[in-house]
Amino acid sequence: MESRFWYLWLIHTTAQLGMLLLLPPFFMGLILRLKSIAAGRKGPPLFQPYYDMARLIRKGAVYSTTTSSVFRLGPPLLVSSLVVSGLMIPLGGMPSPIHFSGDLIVVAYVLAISRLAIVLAALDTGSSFEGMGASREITFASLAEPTMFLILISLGLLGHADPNKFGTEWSLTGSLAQMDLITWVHYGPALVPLSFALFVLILLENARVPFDDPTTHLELTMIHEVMILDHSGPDLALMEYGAGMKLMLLTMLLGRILIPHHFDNTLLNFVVALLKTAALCGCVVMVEVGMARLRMKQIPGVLLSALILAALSVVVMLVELGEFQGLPI
Amino acid sequence: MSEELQGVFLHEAIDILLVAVLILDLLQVATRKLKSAVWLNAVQAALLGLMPLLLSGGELEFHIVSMSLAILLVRGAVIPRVLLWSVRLAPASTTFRSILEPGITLVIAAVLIGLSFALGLNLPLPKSIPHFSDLLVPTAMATIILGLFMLVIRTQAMLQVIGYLTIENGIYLFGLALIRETPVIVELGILLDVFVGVFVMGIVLFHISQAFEHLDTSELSQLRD
Repeated sequence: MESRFWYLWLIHTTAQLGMLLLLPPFFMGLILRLKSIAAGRKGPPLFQPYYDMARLIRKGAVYSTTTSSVFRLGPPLLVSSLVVSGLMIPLGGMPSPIHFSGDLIVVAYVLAISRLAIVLAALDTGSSFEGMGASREITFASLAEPTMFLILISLGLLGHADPNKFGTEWSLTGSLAQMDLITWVHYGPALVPLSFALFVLILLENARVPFDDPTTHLELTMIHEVMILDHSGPDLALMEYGAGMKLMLLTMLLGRILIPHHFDNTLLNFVVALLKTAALCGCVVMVEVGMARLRMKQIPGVLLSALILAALSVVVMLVELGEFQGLPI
Repeated sequence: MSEELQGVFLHEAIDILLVAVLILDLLQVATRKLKSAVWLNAVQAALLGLMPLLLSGGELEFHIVSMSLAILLVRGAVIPRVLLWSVRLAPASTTFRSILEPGITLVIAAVLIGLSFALGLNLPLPKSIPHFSDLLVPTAMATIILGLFMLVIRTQAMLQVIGYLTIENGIYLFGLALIRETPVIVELGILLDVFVGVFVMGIVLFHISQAFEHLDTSELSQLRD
């Protein structure tokens, strides 16, 4: 029994790690392709980001004389922190390789480290241009962080509702293992605003329209692109790779919440998860095709709305769980 | 489908509808366009029109069905058209300003929703309907309070009418808790009152927009010949 458990754990971990490491460029390619098709063009091949990355890795890197080791440390730190958080987020309908009580909060902060890596590297170039991008990134991130935590609190409450198969562990795995389609029947009113808030957060975290345009290189509008302007060669490849990985992680989390699934077959689990992620990438593309990016001034308002939706989700979740009885009158 | 599962589904449909009503409240507070404010309010009223059908547990009684239909027709279709007709001649009335910044407005709205949850959950009411939801009374209170809030912060006559209609949506939602006890004639009487009220307000708006070319009430405070 014990050995079988380890065997399963090994398979899950290998599968999750493999997916985490191999697939990010694919989803970037998918988004590019879908966007081209929606615009009436044929678009690049699905695997173009892989070729781009291979090309960038073969090139040498150019470092400005004003940069220090912080600049060189940025890209590896970004990718490694994303891999660590990817090991804690349950992907593909199975428990994550690492889970413990309170990993919800650790995940949020490890994701924050990945952002820190980009921002510090951008500031280290000493260019006012990149400093501006870093400042924008941090401003919007600080507005988005409470939303992230309220979403995680809502999920944690859901996982804590009944003792689950991971005991009463306050973890992402425990919360999501708890979910099935019946959960939507019971906690739908809380999960609907939660999913909307998380989708807005995905668009912001991955610098998509309407918050940032990944294809623009106009200095007044860039947020993410401006921070990686000074990276070249393998560093740029790692930055792009990290961006793809973040997109994949968060969309997979949302896909898991929207349509919870657990099959006994590991392969089937992964195929379903990938289909859901592809569908969500389609949603991102639809937003991108359907609307223009917002003016900088309007972004805090949208983030505020997401925050309010997340707060609503926590309140409704508490009411549905019977934890919140209101003030005594 | 088993009886029990059907009950759970009905209950959840009601809860999701109530959360949708709350989100529509927030959208109405946040929107800056006149047309979208009118139609958001109409959609909210139409959703509320479906509530009696769900709350009665799917039994199609004459009094409940006729009420639903009347609300869908009057609140969802007639009133928004009357309102939009009354301002179609006013030239610069498609956007509006409020006395608060949009961000602060949303934060206050969220606090008000939290307050109505804190107060509304414990209100002692006769829970006579089969699928009574815990969210019903807080949502009704939030809708009433936010309607009042909209009335206060907005300076445009048209939007004050919409604030009034939002309050009426909340009061109607509150009354749903007593749907079995309320005779249909009372409900229809209330609907008629609202309709006549909006009709009169529409005519007033029409005259204001013809006389002044704007609907800003803050500029109507000075008397002149």
